[in-house]
Amino acid sequence: MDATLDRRHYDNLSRINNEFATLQRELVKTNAELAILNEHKNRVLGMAAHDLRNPLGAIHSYAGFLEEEAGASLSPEHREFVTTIKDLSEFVLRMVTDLLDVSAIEAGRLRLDRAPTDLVELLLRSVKLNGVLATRKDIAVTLESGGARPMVNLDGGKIEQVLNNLIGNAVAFSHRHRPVAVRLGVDESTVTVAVEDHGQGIPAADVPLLFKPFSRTSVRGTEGEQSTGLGLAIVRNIVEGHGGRIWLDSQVGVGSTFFFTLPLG
Amino acid sequence: MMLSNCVPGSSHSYLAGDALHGQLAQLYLTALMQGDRPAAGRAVHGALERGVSVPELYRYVFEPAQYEVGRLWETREINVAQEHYCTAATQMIMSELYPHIFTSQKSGRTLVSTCVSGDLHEIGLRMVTDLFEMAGWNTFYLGANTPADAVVETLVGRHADVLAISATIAHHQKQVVALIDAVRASAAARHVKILVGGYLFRANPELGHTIGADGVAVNAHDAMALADQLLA
Repeated sequence: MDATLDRRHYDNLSRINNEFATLQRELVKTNAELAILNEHKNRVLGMAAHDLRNPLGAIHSYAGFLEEEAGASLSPEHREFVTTIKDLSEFVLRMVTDLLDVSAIEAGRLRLDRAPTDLVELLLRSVKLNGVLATRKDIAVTLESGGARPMVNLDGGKIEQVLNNLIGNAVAFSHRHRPVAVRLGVDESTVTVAVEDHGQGIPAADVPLLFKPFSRTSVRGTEGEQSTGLGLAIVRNIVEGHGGRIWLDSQVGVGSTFFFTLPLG
Repeated sequence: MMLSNCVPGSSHSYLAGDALHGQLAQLYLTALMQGDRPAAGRAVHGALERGVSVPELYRYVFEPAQYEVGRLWETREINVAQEHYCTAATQMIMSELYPHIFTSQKSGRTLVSTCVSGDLHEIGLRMVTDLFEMAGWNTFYLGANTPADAVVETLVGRHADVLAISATIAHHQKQVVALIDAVRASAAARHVKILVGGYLFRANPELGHTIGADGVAVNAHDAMALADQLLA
């Protein structure tokens, strides 16, 4: 009697184990198929974006020439058309560039050309550039480096991309006259850069979506600034590619601070 | 559907130290007999790192080890708990190799495989299905609890070329017949070639053809050669 009961128990365990193994096989197979699809997606995305970038760049440049050189002879309505063409082509160009970055990163092709770099100089350059753009909203962008002058082994172009993205977001999601501060902290092994705004803040439910490509949050630019939904995903990959990490503190109605670290040495 | 010609009730061990990867197979089974699944897993992963291919691990380690487990159980040298433990452990270690299995270039052919309902001896068919996958087939293993109409639905939905059915005991014959009849009754699935295998058909090789299968396979290589032949 006991032996029969034992046998039944063992058989039931076998049945469950078999079903588990079948499900696991299906899961791994599906994941492998998804990985292949993702590769195809990245390849198509990369090719499409690459082919779009040159004509879009030409549209943007010619619209800029028209605005500058023929702007005075255009009617106000036509001048507005040209400005709209220029602004929209700039946005689409940025989106295409982001798509190319994302497809390269997802395909494991994030290439970092690192060199010892004066981080404060790089921060100053980015703060200055974004400060000019922020004057449109009467927002002051400042740098507090605390007198430190760390040399960091980094890819200057990529970290500038990170800074432009974070400062650009801080400006886009802040109301007029709210300052944006960039702060540098240094300890023996890492540097920490903080970009602080006094904007709308980000609801807690949106935070997990922020660093995922193609995800949209409920927060919008205060003056209709458009977002590709890709910038922070790229930023995270660049920071992590340098061996750093990125996170944020945010409170709705108070503002947000994005932090990222880079290793020293 | 068995992987090779296993002789029921054999008094000889299926593990020979001088066979290809024979010592590895002995080491593997010894670990399992001692209830040491991690050690068995380490032996397999170590071999993989040394360049032993996954099909070789299936053919020269898992297969003879499973036959040996069956032999030891039949000769009452191990009890049912040990037999179930070894099978479950092998299934788990096989599943650790899945990332190596689902990466091969696809041939465009599709296999659906299933055991008849209630058959617990499905590890052989699972191995056969994995070997088809590694040979470039797109495979869908349905296990032993899929009703006949769902199998037919899968054949149609996955555009299957071949259905492999495994059965162990005579009691399962009726279910195999019912499944074959269900496939043949479906206008959308009746073109699918049907292979049968497993202990039931090895014991009676004519049975498969009698009940309407297109081929009877005695091992994985046989199954793949038959499938290619039927689709040529």
